[in-house]
Amino acid sequence: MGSVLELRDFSQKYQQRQLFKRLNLTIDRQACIAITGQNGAGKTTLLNVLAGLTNIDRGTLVIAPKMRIGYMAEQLAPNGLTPKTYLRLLGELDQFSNRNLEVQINQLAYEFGLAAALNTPLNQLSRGSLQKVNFVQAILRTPDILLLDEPLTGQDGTTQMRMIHWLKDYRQKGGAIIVGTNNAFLIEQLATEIYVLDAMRLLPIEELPQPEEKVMRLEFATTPRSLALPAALQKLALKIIDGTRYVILYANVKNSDELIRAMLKSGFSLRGLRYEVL
Amino acid sequence: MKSFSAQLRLHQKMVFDNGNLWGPLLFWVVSLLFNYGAQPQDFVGSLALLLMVLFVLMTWLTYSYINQFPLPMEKLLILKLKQQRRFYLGLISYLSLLGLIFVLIGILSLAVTDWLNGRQAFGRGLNWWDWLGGTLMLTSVLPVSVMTGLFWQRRILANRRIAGLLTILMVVLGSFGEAIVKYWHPYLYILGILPPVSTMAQLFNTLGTISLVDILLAWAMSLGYSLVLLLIDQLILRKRKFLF
Repeated sequence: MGSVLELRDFSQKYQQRQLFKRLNLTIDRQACIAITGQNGAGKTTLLNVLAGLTNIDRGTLVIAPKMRIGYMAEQLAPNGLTPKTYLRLLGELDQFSNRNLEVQINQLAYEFGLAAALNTPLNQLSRGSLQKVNFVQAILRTPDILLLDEPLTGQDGTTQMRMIHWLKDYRQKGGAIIVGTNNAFLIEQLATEIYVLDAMRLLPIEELPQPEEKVMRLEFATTPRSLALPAALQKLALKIIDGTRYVILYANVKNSDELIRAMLKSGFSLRGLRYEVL
Repeated sequence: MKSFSAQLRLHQKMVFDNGNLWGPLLFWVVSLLFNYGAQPQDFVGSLALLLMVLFVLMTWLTYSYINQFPLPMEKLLILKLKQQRRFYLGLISYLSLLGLIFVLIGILSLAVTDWLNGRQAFGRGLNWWDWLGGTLMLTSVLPVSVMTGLFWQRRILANRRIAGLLTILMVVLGSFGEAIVKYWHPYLYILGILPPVSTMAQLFNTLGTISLVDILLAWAMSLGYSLVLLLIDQLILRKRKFLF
């Protein structure tokens, strides 16, 4: 597979301040590059550069011909448009055919739990719903390269899983993803290459450091209360907190997929997940 | 064409959503009412005055709209349209269309004034050329007003207070340029860098009728000044783009 996007020997200054120094990055189809780094390290700026939204002081950005780029900024600026109008207009700007556009909007809205909010003005939506609209606009006309800036921010567990599933599927079908994030779960699930942006440079890392004591905290809704916890739980979970409305489970990262499957099969709904120190 | 029409609809929804239209529209209606009340008057003279008012309110509308237009949205649109100039073409076209509606309201109000006063509101009978010439005369100010309003946008000057002040200065000094020159001749040299609106209005004020040469000159001045502003605008924006 040839590379779809390549950044060569890229350096950038802003008002005498060096932002990036001799960065190199190449992405092929069916790959996902995760860019991590501390706040202010320049992840968002680098994504702007990769999207071709800014001039480059030194170096070159080569995007393969006829590549369509989908871009999801960290935040969507809310306005009085409804998600449906907003998505329809953006789709039309992208030359999406009218009939397919309507179907695609409804389908994606349903898939990411946005269907009920399609006719509510954007400035009345929660941060999580805005982020869903933001995600849907980026993938509306399935792009060849997808640039995502902290895509899971504000999402509940179920939507996070749906987004990750969609992205995995998209990658397998030939899409290329570059994601700026510090979300270890997302990186672990999706990334084929990981880079850390540090001191103006992009350094490849084999995998995210996983301290032994780090475990996955999973939160499930127990409504209706009659649901019984699956038997496999005793074997898979390190700790179980069985509340009246929520079940909180702690598990090793390697057991988390199997544990989520068992809980979903038993009728529980995933509400949140994150790494924690037990 | 499809994406251009989508752009126009997007701008229309945003203008209505932000409420940028209502202030200038109210201002325009009040100006037309004043114009109606100030009778008897010269047709070309009242058009020249309306031309200056239209310049002020279209600059105001453009500036307030671009000031409120979210940068992430602009970024996204440019990415979808693949070129920055397509975004600006859509934006300028939409604002000019709005301006054209203002012009038509203005001409219609003059026609109503004339009709209500037994076709003698302007001291003489008016023919088709007066109406066509008047429309072309008012329309000539649209390019210069839209470009003046767009010039000090956030990506060119981040300090909104200074940007607002500079826009107001351009509008005020540009509108009263010819009057200032009468009192202080060296101002003529400064006038060259300001919007040529007072000069355009002055062109029409010399004769009692609208001449084709004056219309062509007014359009040439307006388009020339707008093109220079547009070039500077696009050069700066292309250099800056969106780093953050």
